[in-house]
Amino acid sequence: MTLATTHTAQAPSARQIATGLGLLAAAILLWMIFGIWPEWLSAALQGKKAFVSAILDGVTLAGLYFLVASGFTLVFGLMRNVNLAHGSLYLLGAYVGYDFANWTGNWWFGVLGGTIALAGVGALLQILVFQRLAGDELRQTLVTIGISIVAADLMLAVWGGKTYQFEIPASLDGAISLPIVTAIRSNGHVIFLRFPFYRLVVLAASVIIGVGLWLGLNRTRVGMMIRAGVDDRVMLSAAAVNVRLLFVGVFAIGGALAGFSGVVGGSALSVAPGEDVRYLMASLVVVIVGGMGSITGAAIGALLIGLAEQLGLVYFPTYGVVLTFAIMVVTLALRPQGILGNARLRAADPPRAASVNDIVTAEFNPATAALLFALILIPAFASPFLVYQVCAQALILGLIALSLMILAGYGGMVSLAQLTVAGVAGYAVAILGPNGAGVLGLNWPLWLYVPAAILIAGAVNAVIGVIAVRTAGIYTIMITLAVGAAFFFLAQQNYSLFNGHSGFRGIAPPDLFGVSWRLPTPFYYLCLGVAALAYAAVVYASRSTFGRALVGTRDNPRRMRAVGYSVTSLRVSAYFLAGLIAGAAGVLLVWFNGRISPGTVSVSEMIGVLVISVIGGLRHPIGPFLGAALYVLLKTFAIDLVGADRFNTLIGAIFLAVVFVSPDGLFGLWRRAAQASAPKPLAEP
Amino acid sequence: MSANEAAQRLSNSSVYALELEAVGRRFGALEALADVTLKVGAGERRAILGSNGAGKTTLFNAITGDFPPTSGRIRFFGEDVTEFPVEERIRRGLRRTYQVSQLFGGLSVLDSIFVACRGVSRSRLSLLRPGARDATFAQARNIAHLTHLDDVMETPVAALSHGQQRQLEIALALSGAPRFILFDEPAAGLSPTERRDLVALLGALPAHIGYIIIEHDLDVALRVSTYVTMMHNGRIFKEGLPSEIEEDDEVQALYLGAAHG
Ligand SMILES: Nc1ncnc2c1ncn2[C@@H]1O[C@H](COP(=O)(O)OP(=O)(O)O)[C@@H](O)[C@H]1O
Ligand SMILES: [Mg+2]
Repeated sequence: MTLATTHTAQAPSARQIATGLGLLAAAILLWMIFGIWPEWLSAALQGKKAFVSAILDGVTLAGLYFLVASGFTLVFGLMRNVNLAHGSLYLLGAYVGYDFANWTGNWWFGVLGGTIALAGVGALLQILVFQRLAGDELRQTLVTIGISIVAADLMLAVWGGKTYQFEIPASLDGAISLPIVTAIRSNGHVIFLRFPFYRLVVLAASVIIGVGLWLGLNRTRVGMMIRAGVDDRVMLSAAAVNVRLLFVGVFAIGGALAGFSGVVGGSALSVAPGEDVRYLMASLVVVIVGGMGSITGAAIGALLIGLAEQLGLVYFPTYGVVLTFAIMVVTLALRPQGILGNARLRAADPPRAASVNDIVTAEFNPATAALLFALILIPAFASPFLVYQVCAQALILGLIALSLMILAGYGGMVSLAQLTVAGVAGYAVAILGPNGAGVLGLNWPLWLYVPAAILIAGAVNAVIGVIAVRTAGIYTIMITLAVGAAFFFLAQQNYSLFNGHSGFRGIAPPDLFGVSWRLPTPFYYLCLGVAALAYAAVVYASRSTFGRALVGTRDNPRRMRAVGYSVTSLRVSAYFLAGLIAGAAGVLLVWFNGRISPGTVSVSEMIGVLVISVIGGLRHPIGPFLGAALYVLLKTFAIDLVGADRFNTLIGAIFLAVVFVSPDGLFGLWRRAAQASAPKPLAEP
Repeated sequence: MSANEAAQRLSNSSVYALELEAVGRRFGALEALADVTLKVGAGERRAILGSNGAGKTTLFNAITGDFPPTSGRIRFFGEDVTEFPVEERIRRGLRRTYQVSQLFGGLSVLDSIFVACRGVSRSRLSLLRPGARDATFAQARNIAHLTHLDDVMETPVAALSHGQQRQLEIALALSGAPRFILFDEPAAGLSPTERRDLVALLGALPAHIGYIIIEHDLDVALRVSTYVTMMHNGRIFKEGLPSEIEEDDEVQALYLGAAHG
C-alpha cells in the first residue's frame, strides 16, 4: 500500500468540503452576474438588475464595513481591548475630514486630515486611558463606553444635529457602465449595468488596505509581534521591542483606519449623529462573525454582513436585519470564536472580572425597613411631578438595572440586553393588551396579558442567554449589545408586528379595585411595590442554593462542572430569572411612558442601563436603585445644573469617574463612608 | 503482573470503577496521552507516578472530561461515559481535585462545600434558602471537620492560606457521596504535619470509595496505595505492587536521578 492510495482513500476533511462548497457558490454567483438569465430566474429574483445591483451594493458596503472593523479587530488582536468607542472615532473622523475638506476646498485633504487627526486621537487614548488600566479588560471596555457617551454628546454640541454631505471630486463622481449585461432588448440592443464609480473606488481602497494589513501582519517582524500580542509580553520584551511604542502605534493605526473610513464612508452616504452607533454595531457583528483579532476574518465577516444587509433590503425589506442577526447566531452556535477566530482568545472561562468582585451579602435589616418607610412617605410631601417623573421612573429604571446587576454581580455576565428584554415585555403589553394606536391590540384581559408579557420577557432573556453563554467575559457585552441593537432595528423596520418607527401609543395602567393606577401617587406605589418585591426576592434568593451556585459559576465555572453543575443551565436560568424582573419593569415602563417605540430600546438607552448599574454599584442589589435615582435626578435637572442640555456629557463623566475611582460605585462610596464614621469597624459576616 | 494476580486483586469487586481502552489525547501536534489502557476496581486505591509532563494530569482531564480524550473509550462503573459532559460524570459519583487549586474565591468555605454537596442532588438549582438545620449543611460541616477546616468555615476562600486551600480542594472532592476520586498531587505544598493528616484521611475513607492519587512523594504514594502505575511520555510503562515499585531499578533511577521531575 502506498502513501498516495491511503491519501486518496481518506474521506475529505471538513475544511476540504467547505472549500469545495465555497468554490461552487462562487462559480454560481459568477454565472449569475455575467451570464444571461433565463425567464424563470428573472421572475424569481425580481430581475437580474435588482439582484446584481444588490450584490454589488453588498460588496461595496462590505468594503466599508471591513475598513471600519479592521481597526477594531487589529486593536483587539494585540491588546484584548474591546474599544466600544470605535464608532465614535469613525464619526469624529468624518466630521474632522468634512471640516478639513471645507477649509481647504479639497476632498483629498479632508481624507488626509481625518485620517491623521484620528491616528493622533487613537494614540492619545492608548497613552492616557488604556495604559492606566492595562490587564483589566472589563474596566477598559467600560471606559470606552463612557468615552463614546461623552464623545457623542460633545460632537452633537460642536457639529449639531444636521446631516453633512461631502462634495466628492468630479473625477470620482458619477456612474460608469460595467461589462455586465442586465438585459437584451428585442431590437438586439444590449443594456449594461451602470454603477456609481465612487463606490467601486471605496471597494478598491478597502481591498488595497486589507492586503496591505495582511502583508504587514504576516510578512514583517513587527507584524509577527503584533500577532503574538499580549499573551506573549515576555517574548515581546525578549525581542527587545519597545512594547509601549508598539501598542501606541497599533492604536494609532486603529484610529487612522477609523478616521479614514469615516471620511470615505461619510462621502459615500452622509454624516450625522447616530452613525457612530451604526458603525460600531457593524464592526461588532463583523468581528463576532469573522473572528476577533483576525484581519482575514474581518474581510469574510464584512462580506457576509454587507451582502446579507443589501440582499435583505431587496428581498425581505421588513425582516432584513433578521438575516444579519441569523448569520451571527448561527456562527456563534457553530463556532463561538467566529469563523477564523482563535479559540484561545474566546476566553470561555476567564478569571473573574475585578470590578464586580466580592458581593456584599445583602440581608433584611433595620436600614432596609427605614428606607422602605421613607419611600412610602415620599408622596406625603413631594409634588406629583417629583413623585411620578423622578421617583416612579427611578424605581422602574432601577428594576431594569437590578436585572443587570443579578447577571453581572452574582453571575459575572455583563448583559447589555436587559432594556431590550424590558422592551419586549412592553411591546407584548401593547400588542396583547389594549392600545390606542389602532394597530393590533388583541385586547386580552389584564390578568392574562401582564403575566404573559413577563413570561415572554423571561423566555426571550433565556434565549439571549443561550446565545451569550457560549462565550464569556467581554464577549458577553459585545454579543448582548449586538442582540439588543438587532432588536432595535427589527422593531424599526417591521410594521406587521412592531408597527415600525412609530410603535404603539395610548397604553395605560388599568383602573382596578377602585383605584386609577395611572395617577402619580397610585402609580408610584405600584412601582414601589414591584421594586420592593423584586428586591426582597433577590436578597432572599441570593442566599439560596441557586444564588450561591451562581456566584460559584462566576468565580470558577470549571470547578462548578467538577462538582456536578451544568454551567450552561445555571447561567441560562439566571438569564430567565433576570428576564422576569426586567419584564415586570418593562410592563411598568410602557405604562409610565404611555407608549413604546424603537426609541425606548435604542442602543444609547441600553447603555444608559449599564451606566445606572455601574454608577450605583454591582456589589449589592440596592446599588442599581441608587444609580437610577442619581441618573433620573440628573436627567431631570441637568439643564439647571450645567446650563445647557449636556446631560450625556455629565452622566458620561460621572460614569468614567466611577470606573476609574470607585469601581464599586455609589454603594461602595457610601459603605466606606459609613464604615469610616462608625465608632468601631463592624466585622463582615 | 499476571492476569491471575489482577483477578485476585479484584476478586471482591465484581465491577471496575474505571476502564480505559486505548485512551489518547492530543493538543495540536503534541500527543500528551497515548494508548492508555487501564482498569481500576471499585474501592481500589491506585497511585500514579511519573515525572513532570508525563501526562498524569492529562489522564485525569480525560477521565473527568475537562479535556475529553481524542481517541479511545472510558467506562465508569460499566457505563460508557466517553461522550458525557463533565457534570454527568460527576453526578455518577466521579470526583477530582486539581493540581492548581480551582476554588470559588467569593464564597465562604462552608458555602463552597455546600454548593459541592448540592451539585449532585436534584435541588442543585433550588431557589429556597437552606434552613439552619439543613441536612446538606450538616454534611458540609462534617466534611469541613474531616479536612481540618472547622475554624475557617465562614472565611471567604480568597482569604485562606495555601495549605487551607489545598484542604478545601480535597473537601470539594469528598462532597456529595463520591464513589471514585482522582487526587492530583494533593500533598504538594503541604507541611509534614499536614501530610500526615492527609495520609490518615485517605486511610480513613470508607472502603467502597476508590481513588487514583498522583503523588511525587514516594513515601506518601506508596503508603496510601495498593497498586502503582508508572507513566512516561504519555504512556504507561510499568505497573506493580508498591513493594515491587519501591525496589525497581528504573524507578530508583528516575526518582533519585531526577528528584521531583
Ligand atoms: N490544555 C493543554 N493544552 C496544551 N498542552 C497541554 C495541555 N495540558 C497539558 N498539556 C501538555 O501535555 C503534556 C502533559 O502534561 P500534564 O498532563 O500536565 O503532565 P503531568 O501532570 O504528568 O506533569 C505537557 O507537555 C503539557 O504541556
Ligand atoms: Mg500534573
